Amino acid sequence: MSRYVQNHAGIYVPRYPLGRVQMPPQATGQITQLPAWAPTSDGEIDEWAMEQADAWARPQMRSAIDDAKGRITAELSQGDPSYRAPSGATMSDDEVAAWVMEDITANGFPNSPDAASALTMRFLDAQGSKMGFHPGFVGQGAELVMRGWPTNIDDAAAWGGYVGNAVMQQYGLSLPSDWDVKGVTTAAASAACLQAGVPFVGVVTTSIDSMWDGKLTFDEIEDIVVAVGSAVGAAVGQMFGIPAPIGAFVGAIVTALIFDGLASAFGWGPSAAEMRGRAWNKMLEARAAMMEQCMEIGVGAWGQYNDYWNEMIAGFDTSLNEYSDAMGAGIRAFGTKRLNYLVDNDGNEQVLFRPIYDRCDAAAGCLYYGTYGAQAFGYERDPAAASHRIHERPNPLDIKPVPAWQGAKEPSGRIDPYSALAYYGASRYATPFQADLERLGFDNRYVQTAGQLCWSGGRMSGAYTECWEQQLHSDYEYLENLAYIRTALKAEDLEQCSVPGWAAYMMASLVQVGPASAFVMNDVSATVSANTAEQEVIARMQVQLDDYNAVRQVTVQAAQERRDILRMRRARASREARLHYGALAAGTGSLAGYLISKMLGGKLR
Amino acid sequence: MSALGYEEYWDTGILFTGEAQEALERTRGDERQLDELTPAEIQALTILHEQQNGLMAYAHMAMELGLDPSAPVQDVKAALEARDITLDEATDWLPACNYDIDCFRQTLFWELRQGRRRVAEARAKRLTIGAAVVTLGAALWLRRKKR
Repeated sequence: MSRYVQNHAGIYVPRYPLGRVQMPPQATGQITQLPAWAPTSDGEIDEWAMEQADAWARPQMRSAIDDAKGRITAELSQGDPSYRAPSGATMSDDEVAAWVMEDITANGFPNSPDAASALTMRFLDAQGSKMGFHPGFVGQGAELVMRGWPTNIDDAAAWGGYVGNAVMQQYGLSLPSDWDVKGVTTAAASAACLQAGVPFVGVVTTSIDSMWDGKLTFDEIEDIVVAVGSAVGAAVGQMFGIPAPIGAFVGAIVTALIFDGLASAFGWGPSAAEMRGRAWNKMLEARAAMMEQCMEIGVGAWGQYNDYWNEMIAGFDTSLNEYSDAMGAGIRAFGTKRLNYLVDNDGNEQVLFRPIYDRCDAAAGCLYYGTYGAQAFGYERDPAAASHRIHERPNPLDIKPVPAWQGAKEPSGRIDPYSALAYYGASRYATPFQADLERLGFDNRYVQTAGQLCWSGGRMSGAYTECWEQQLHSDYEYLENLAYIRTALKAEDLEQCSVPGWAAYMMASLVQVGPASAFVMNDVSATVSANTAEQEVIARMQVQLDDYNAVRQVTVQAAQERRDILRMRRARASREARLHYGALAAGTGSLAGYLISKMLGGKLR
Repeated sequence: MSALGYEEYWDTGILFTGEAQEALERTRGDERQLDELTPAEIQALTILHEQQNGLMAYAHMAMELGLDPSAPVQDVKAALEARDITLDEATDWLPACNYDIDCFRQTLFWELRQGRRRVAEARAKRLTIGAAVVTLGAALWLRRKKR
């Protein structure tokens, strides 16, 4: 099953976000009704992440793609970006004469049609080697020629597919030998469309379907061959990360070279120079047509993208706000979440372009965007994910940034779904300009200023005097100005359709929404649960506190009374004692004085 | 015995210790400000604070009596009675101060001073009575001799 589906408007959209990740429950009150695949506990999340990691670690796709991508990138980065090999040089007359003499010496003079055919095959192999192709390729191609020059679209498409395959062989890639040219080409182009090269759906299907039947002229066949070779080159290139126009260009040039070489070898068709010129013109026409389609498809994809968001956010918003009262200060994250990619129904990895890594050690959870940030609480966040805390409002043309609310809860008490999703890197804002910034590796997003600063990096200040952010723009303007912005940024004119990269960015954004919404709902569930438990504890404490307060009040009051009474009694007792014992002491002293005086008086007398 | 002595007070307080500790941990974990706490959490923390003041008060008193801060209650009781102070009245000092440790400390000093004074007064009382008895005896003896 394809990873993509075609919607009613004919636009390919990823199957995964729409078909795999179910919409959150529409206010059914079942807060635990998470998407079926979503892990519902921290343990499951860990286990799930491990499974994902194991699956991803399997070498097949990863190593193959990395290898091929490395080689293609290396090839394309050398010298002329158009194409480096093959050289296209054919054997000179002297070389042909020398080769023929050598071959006749070795294999004898051809005295039968089969022997002549074999000689021709060997010659084409030698010619192909001289041109830079793999040994045997031109000879195999010649078999088609020997069976007859292509006179209809089937043969032409077979040729196109064959030379397209040659393009890949040049880079060490290959397609199945028994491939269905039309099917594979269309599929490859579709894949390229979905991956990045949207315009080729129209180019390939239109040119093939409209001329599938009937006899064609040489020029027409050549055009088809070049076009199909171009499309295959583009599709293959797209699969390995090469921009569609470059892949198409390479495919067209190589196709023309092969066509040129074969035609020259057999003395058929126009001259090589004419063919190459025609191929160039064909490419320019195709590019112009592509740009038109680029516009249309880009706008269509944008509409589809926003339709999805509108539909998704409506249900999500309702689900979240049903529990806003039980959310306390806002949504809190619990435990550790780590997710780099998902595996869809077909077993394909969907790598998140903003990997999720969130850790909260506090048993009571960590409030989304807590007051003191990540470090104060000792939970780590991926820097890339952390930089996406600012999200934008639903209106895609209003580029004012809106900070995410703490706890994803607005002052009014309403839970803001965009803030919640932004916590896990899912943002609705995915304009071409945004995609370009992301592609160029700018972390900083738009800044809201009244001045001329166009973004916080400051790189555009000198090169791009008009501040893009100060105005609202239509989608068309975004598309039209994208090339200009790129020119200002990179001092070179790429002249390529922005939709492939943009569509890939939108698709990545949708992929991010799936796990983000699942994690948010998981957190919501945990927050509500924790809050409920906390409320129960607090209520129980309150009962005891009420008892305690009553006892405490009595205790304090009684203690003070006892203390005061005791002090008063003691003071009175002390006073009385001083009086009584003072008198006693005085009396005793008087008596003692009297006695002493008597005793002394008696003696004296 | 007062309505709530130390033992009873602690028995009551222990009921809250675990949850108050949890509340305290929670506030530490979140690093929330005090104004972000619920009233129940604040009160639980207050109780915890009072319990800690109770321990401090006991230690202060023991040291002022010349004992180890963790001296057993019997020793504290004996030392207090030597100063004409009962354990019951001492256990009232902290609640009477509304569990404020500074107030308790002032009360402690004042009461110990008063206690020493009472002991001195008692000694003077005994001395006065003794002197009176001796004097009276002497007077009687003289009268008899004279006859």
